[in-house]
Amino acid sequence: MRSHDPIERRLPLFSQTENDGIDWELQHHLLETADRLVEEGWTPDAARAEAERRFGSVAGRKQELKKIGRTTTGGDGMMEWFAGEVRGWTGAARRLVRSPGPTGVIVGSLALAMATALTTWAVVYGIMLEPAPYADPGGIVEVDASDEPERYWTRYLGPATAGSWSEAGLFTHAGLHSSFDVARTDRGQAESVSIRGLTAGAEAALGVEPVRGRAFAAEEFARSAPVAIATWDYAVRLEREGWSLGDPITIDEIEVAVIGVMPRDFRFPMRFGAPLFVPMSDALEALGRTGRYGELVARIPEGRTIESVQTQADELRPVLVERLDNAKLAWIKLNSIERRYWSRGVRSALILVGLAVAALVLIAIANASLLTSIRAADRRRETQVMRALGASRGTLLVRWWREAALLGLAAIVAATLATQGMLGLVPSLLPRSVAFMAPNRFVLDPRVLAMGLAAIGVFTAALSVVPAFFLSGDRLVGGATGDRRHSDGRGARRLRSGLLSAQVALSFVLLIGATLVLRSYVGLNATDVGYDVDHTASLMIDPTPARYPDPESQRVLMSRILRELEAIPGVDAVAPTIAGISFGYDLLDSNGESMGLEPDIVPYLEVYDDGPNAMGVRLVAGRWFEPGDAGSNGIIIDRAWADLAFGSAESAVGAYGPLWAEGDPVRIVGVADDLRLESPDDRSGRFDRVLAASRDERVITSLAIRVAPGVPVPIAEIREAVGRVDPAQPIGQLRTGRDALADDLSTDRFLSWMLASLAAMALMLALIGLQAGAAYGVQQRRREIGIRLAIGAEPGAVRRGVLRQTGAVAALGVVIGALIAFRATGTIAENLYGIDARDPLTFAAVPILLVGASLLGALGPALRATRVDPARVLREE
Amino acid sequence: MDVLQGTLELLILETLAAAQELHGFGILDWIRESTEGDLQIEEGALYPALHRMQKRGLLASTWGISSKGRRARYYCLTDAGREALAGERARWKRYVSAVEQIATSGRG
Repeated sequence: MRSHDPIERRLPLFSQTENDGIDWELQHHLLETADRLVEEGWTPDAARAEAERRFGSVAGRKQELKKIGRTTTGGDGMMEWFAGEVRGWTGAARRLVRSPGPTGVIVGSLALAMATALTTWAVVYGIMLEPAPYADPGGIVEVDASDEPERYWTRYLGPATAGSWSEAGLFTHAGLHSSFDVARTDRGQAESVSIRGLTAGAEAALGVEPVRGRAFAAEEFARSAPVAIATWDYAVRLEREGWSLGDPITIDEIEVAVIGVMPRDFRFPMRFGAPLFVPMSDALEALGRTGRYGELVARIPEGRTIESVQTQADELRPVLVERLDNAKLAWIKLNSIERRYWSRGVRSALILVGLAVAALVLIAIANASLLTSIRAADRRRETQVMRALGASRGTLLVRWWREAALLGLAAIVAATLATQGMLGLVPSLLPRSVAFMAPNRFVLDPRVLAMGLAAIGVFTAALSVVPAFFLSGDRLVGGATGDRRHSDGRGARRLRSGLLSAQVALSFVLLIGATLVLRSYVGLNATDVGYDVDHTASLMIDPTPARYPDPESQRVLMSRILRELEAIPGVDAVAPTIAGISFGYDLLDSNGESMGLEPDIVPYLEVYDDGPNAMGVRLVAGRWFEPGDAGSNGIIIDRAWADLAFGSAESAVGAYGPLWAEGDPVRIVGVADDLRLESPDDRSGRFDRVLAASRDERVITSLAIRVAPGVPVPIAEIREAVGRVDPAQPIGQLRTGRDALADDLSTDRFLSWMLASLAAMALMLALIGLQAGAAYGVQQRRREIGIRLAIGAEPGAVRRGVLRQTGAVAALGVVIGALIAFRATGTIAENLYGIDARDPLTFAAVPILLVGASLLGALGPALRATRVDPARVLREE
Repeated sequence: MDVLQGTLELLILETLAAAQELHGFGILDWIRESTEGDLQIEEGALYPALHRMQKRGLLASTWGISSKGRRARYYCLTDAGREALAGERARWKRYVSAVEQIATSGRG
């Protein structure tokens, strides 16, 4: 009944005189009365005469009104319009506040879903889509190559060949980077810090300048000068400690001047970001240390594609092999840093989370629509009366639109706040497999935020059409004609059950996905990885060069640490053990023939031939290493490999020969139970091996520790033991086998938690919807229920009827959801391990849970139904 | 049943509080409707009451177009009108209970 919707406002109504106004007003009254009389069967002429008779003296009333001399506000169009708007909006706000339940659920659902969607977008964008923070990032590549583990990286990608790449014109800049764990000692207690050494070529390839201070000078690379550039975040921390640009900090007992700060959004493109960068010579020397391996980063010439450079690198391979007098460079791979994060599990996990969020948004929309339609139906009588009293559909639409707009506005505010909160939480929730590639903090592009918020706006505008749709068929039935029929139309009821079933269906799909991923994660955690995760720990010691400048002093340090660790009560074995991966080979069978298998990666352990079995590897045949195994290339392979290549574990033991193309001959001394050294999930069909290595001149700084069964892994004691040997010596990567496993499973854990919480939210929204639907159904049928109870119906039967209705809606949703889930299982298969995407138990249990929960939700309304007092209901009617 | 003297204002205030915005005919119809036709308001008396109440600042009015495409003056409550409604309600309750006391004591 608003007079100020856009069309009405444009009418030239405001210039009329006061007298005109009185005429119009009375005229309107007479015409309306006459219309009503015509509807009641009067002829038009008779109706007009009767209207005037009922009104009394029109002329007399006019005089009276003129005397009252009301000054209308009609003269000031703008003011009147403004006052009308204010009234309209405050009225709408009042109506919303009067029904806090539905209002809260609508605002809450929309805000929750939109905030989740926006946050997920910010994360996916930040991790996968955001251009890397480098000039022309498409031209930067990482270079991988295959080699024997012990020579991995260093020779082919090392100083000797870095020049060869550029010579051949493959890259405009190429250089190595290497990371070190160092001790920072100017803060009292020694503190372990990662630093990353960059050669001049690597720095040039990346092409990022510090935002404060300066870059490294050419001569600083050559002499690996004691200067460093900090990341933005580390500089913030240093400033809190009183540092200012150019001040030194103490690393490995060397004064290192921090001369620059990287831009805020800078991220090092490779795994294991470090807070400090130092100049590294081409011989991998930095701050008095020499890196064990460098990784090659390069920039391809402008205007060339990675594919064309890759072809050229393939052609260059034989040249490199010849130049380096080594025939084992099986392949070279150039990987764009832009595509660095599209790794298998992570990518599909993010896609799944994205789909789950989309489902949640749909559920929220269905829920909001449902509650809006219930509100509309609840207020049916009010609107019928208004309609009958002459409110146009436009007026009703404006009335509903105002409420929808306020709901939308509240949802927008709530969504913005919730998004900010969630974005602050995200960095701490990300799995390790993702966190290293994530920016320091996630920010939402204002345009995306605006789009998300606009979506809420559009949706709520559309919501105002829903009630209008319901009400359009309501003209002059109901209120105005005295018909007291309360229940609404079949179409509306169908729409409502449809929305409910859709919610249940989507929740079902989410629940199935979450259950499958959760069970897969639990399964992965329980997987036997072939070594003892519960009684082992590993650590790395990087001897500080200032104290341990030569291999001899480093060896002494390591043997003292080893003795201290062995003396910890409960420790059974300590041994230098290196875990690593090498890239795939063409595996050979017992006859030296190719098996046509080239696994992606081959994880391995390197154990010193007289070292104890400190990882608790379980043997199924043969023996553990003995002194001298290194000399005869002793090796232990896992059972899967032995079965494939030799038919059985037993027949593999004692075999001598190369195990992969172009490999040296090895002697198999034992076969281990299936090993999963890299990750408990064996989806890529990996083969694992344990190598006997010789101690030669190398100082082995990785240690494995095994404790007796029943003894907790003594992490604190391990730290203390190293501290007793040298309190200033940092310890790198000290963790239990169980923690290492947890790190491997971080993507699966992240996915499980994400899907589980999204599914929980979806279930909650669906249950709210079902509960509201059931409550509304009961309210609609009060009269019917009252009559049935009055004529002696069993209260139990009435209750069952209500439950049956909700159950039917939920069951339909489950059936639809099952069809969707059954068809969509391919999407999730990649992230499942040890469980079928159509796992019968899951598909049986989730429907029971879902229908059970819906019935529980409908129980309240069902109980209320039988408390209907028949006498009262009938009296009301 | 005719409307008791002095209660027309209360009825108008109540109606506009419930229906937000109505034209004169709408107000009459709303009252008839919600009392099942028990209360009949003299049609001609309505408009002077509306105009007086607007002059006193209890109501505001705007021009609009009704569903039948006719120009109509729509009334709604002002803040003063809402306050007046509260006062009128209290006064009405006191009046009713006073009348009731007399009516019951007369019977006894």
